[in-house]
Amino acid sequence: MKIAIYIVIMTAIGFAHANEKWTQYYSIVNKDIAKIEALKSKDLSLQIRLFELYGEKLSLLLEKENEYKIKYLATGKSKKLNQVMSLQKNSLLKLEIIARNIERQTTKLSVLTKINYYRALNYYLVKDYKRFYTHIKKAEKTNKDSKLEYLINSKLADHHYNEGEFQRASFYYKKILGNKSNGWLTKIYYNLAWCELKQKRYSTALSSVKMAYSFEQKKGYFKVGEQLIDAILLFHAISRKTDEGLDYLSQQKISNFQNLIKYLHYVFENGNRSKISKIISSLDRLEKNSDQQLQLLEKKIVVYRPLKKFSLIQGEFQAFENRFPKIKLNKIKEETRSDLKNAIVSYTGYLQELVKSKRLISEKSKRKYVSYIASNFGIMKLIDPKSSMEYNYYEGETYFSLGDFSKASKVYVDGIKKYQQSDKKNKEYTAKTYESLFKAIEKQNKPDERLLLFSLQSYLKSFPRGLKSKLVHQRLVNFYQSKGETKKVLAALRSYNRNYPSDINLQRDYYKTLLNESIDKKDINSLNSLKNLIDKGFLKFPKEESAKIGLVITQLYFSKYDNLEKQGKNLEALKGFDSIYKDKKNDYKLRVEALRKKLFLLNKEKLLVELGDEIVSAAKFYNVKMKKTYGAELVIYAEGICSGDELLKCTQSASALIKDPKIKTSKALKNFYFKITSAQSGNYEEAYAMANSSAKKNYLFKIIVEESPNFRIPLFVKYYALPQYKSIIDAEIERKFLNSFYHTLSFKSFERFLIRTPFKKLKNSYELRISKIKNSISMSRFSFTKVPTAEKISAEQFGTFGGQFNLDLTKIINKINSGLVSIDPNFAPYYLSNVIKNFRIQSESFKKFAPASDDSQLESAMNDEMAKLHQFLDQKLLEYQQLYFESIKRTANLSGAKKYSRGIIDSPMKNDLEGLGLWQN
Amino acid sequence: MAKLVVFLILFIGCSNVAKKGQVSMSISMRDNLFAQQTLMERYKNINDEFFLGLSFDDCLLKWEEEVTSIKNQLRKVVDPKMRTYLWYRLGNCYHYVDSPKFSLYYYDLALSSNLLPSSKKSVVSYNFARAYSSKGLVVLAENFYRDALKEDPSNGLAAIELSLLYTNQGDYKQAMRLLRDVQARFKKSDFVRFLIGVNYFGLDDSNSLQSKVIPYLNDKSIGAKLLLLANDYLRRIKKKEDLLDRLGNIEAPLPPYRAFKDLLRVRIDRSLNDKKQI
Repeated sequence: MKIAIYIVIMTAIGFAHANEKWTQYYSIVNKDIAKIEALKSKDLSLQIRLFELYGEKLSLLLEKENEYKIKYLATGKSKKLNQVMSLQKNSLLKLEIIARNIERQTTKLSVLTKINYYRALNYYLVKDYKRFYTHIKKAEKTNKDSKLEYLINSKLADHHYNEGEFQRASFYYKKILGNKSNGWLTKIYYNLAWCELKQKRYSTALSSVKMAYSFEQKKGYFKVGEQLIDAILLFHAISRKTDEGLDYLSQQKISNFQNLIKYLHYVFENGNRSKISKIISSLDRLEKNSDQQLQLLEKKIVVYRPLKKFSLIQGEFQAFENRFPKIKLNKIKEETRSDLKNAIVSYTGYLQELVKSKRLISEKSKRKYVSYIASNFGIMKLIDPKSSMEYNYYEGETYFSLGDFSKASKVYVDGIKKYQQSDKKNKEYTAKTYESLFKAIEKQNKPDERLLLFSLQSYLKSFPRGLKSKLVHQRLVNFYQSKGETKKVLAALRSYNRNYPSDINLQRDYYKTLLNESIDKKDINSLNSLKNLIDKGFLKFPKEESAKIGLVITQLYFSKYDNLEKQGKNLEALKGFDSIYKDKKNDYKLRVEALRKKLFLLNKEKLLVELGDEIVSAAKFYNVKMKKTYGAELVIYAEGICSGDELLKCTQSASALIKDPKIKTSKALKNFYFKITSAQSGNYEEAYAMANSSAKKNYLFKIIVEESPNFRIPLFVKYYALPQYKSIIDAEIERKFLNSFYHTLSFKSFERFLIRTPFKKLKNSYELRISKIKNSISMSRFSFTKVPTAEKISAEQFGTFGGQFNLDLTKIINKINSGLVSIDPNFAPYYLSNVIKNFRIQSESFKKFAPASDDSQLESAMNDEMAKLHQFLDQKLLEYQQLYFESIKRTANLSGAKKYSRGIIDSPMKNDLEGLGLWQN
Repeated sequence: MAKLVVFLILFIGCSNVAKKGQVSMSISMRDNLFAQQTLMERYKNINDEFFLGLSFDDCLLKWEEEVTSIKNQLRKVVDPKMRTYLWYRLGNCYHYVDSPKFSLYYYDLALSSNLLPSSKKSVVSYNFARAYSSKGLVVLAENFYRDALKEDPSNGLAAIELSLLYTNQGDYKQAMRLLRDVQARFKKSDFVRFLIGVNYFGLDDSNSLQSKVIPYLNDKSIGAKLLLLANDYLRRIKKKEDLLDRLGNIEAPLPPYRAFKDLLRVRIDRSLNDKKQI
């Protein structure tokens, strides 16, 4: 930047300096002119001087004209230019006036010659060549000076040359050739050579140009430069002296690559094409850098192509391709690359045209050329990798044009793949390639699917929102759909939606197609995946959509499990329905149905434990409506459990159902529940509360009797309130009362039993009864009147004794009778036994008394009386015995009194016969 | 409810599966079953006509397997008759192991169905009666024995047990009536004759004992030996020591014989000390 500024400044300074110098010089010239003009008379010398000054002025103005022209072109400001032009015009006019004046004033040829010469130069400067020629001819005519002659001739030679008057130009060039020390000889010979060439005088042209070259090699001579060599090459070519040219180049040691390549070009363009191979051979022999190799290749293409030496060209390509790894691309000039590229393109294009033509070449040739074309594009890609895409495209187009769409597709795809790996700048050809690729694919009946897929995918990668992207998105979705690759379809849809959210309805339609397919196939896994997507907001479906799918899924599951059931795979079906039921995300009604199915299958499989658990669950799970509708099922299942003897589960399930006010349970179930609860729980009060029928009460009664045969359970009190049970309880207690007494002849055992019974009133009545019985039994205790103890007793004593005895006996008998009347008939045998025993004892004791008296008659009479009493007592005893046996008969059935039917009761008969001890079946 | 569940769990645990899915027995249940098996075998071994007709229930032989099998059948059976029968079987089975509540539960289920035939109702009534009898509930026992005979007059066991009940109550005539009915079906049964003899003994009817019972008994049978001795006791023809001695030599393993032997011992011991007799 600094350098640039420096240059600008320096240029400005230089320019300013130059400008200053011009101004200064112009001022001087003008002053001089003014001085001379100021003179009233001007002689010839002054005229000449004035002529010179005006000539200088004209030169200066011409110089300024250029400057102002540039400014004018840059700025559009023409004021100064116009001024300068005007001044030029004026100067020129002035020069002409002065020249005429001089011509009038003198006839000196030298002067006239100079004037005309300079006039010619001035006109030459202003490009008035007509006037130039006029005056230079005048000068020529009048000139005697050899130096001026040279100048005039050279001017005329150049003029004629420029005017294309080569013959005259040659004439004048030849005239000025004389002086061999002339430094301009190189140019003169050069120009002369051209003149000769133009006149088709090839030999002289060649000799002239060689002369020019030879002079150029010498010091002090004008250097024409490269043009001269070019001319040599061209002249040899045009003169068809190819070999001579090669030799000359070799001799002159200018047979380098640059010259040879030019020579090749000239020979090809102008010369003998048959000699091209020689030049090429020469070129081939040379050691070439990378750039030169490409240049040569290009030239070969250019040269061989019109000669239709295609195989040679292809051979060169092959060789080039082989050498390519050694070629340094970065050393190749852009121009060279471009030229070669163009050459190949052009050549390849030509081949394409040939191929396209129907009749120009045979099919075999066409095929050959097609391979050439493809190969050529390969070369192009090497040379110009940046444009690979383009070449690929054209290569593809080649195959496309031939109808080889498969090959074309592959080529296009290759191109795209490479493009994707590159810097991705050539979008134009990428788009074209894709366009052609899609067309090629469409043309094929069965396109390669991998290619098709690649084309769609890569297109979208490159042009997610390109012109065709929408369609490509759709095609990609369709592709995956045709393959049944659901995940990829969805991914494609997602991408499609991301780039074209406005097409959401169409995208949703695609999705729904997938959905319907999954439904048709009953593919539950797919449906689940699809549902999950929607739940995550895929394509912004409303929530209802998810719910619908959910419903379909569960229905499919249902049908799947139903089928399993039909196949007899109940356990599997069971698992399935269980999973539906347990999935809380499922619709409630569906879960209910699943549960119902589960219950049905559990029942079918007789998995009663599980069934019981599920019934309990169902009772909690079902709402009021479901309980109303399906409660009866649960009851039936529960009954089945109970019938199936699964007691624990029966109880649990029955309890759950019975306690639920919304479920109508059956009598049978309630019975089951009641019976198990009664038998097992120990909570008889609760059981009694449930015993709402006589059968249940009966059953419970049996239970509690079994539990407590001594009636100790408080519930017995409630049963006692019921007549039918009261009679049983009364009967049993009565039997116990009687049995225990006749077993032990004591109330102790029964009294112990009585303490622990819950029947207060009964207890009291028995206590009272026992008391009465005891009281009655106490009446069996009596004693006869004591007999007199004296050895001898008097009649009075006997009479008194007798009277007392009768009285006492009467009381005893009355007491006994009273006791007999009052005693409980079931205890009469015992009472009578006591009476008899006592009476017997008393009688025996009484009978031992034998009254003695001194009076034998009295003694006899007393003994007679005693005998009568004994008889009475015996009769009474007998009577009591009879009463005893009768009382046995009158005792209650099963009282146990009859055990003593053999004789009076004096000791307890405890030994009972055991039962057989056998249970019956 | 919680107690029930605990109880059921304990019950199920106690009677839990020896093998997988099999109902199993507690120790006391095994003891009861074994006792019943032994008793049954002993009765069978005396080769009496009355006992020869008795059959060993499968429950008696292999209780766990049988009960398990029945319960498994119950899960599956649909026919109410079959179910009733299975309940009836379970009721029987649980009596063998002295689980009266379960017996009651199953019997009640079987009876409630009204599908149980009379012969089996008779069995149920018999077993109820036996259960009550063992608890000293004589009235209920008598009623159920009577029910058993009503349902099936040929239920010999019910008749025998009822007769024993009456015998124990001293109601020898009632007992005799029942035994006569049984004897009509088991004419060759020494056991039945023995029981008749026991009742004659109760009635102090030595003549009947001597003429109607003893001659028809197998001399070698326990019953015959006991009754001969009883008769000798009644006739007072032997001394007490002789009688007791003879009694001691009689082996009487079975309940009725054993009980009668004890009764005789007591009677002999007591009454021969009692000088004054009617």
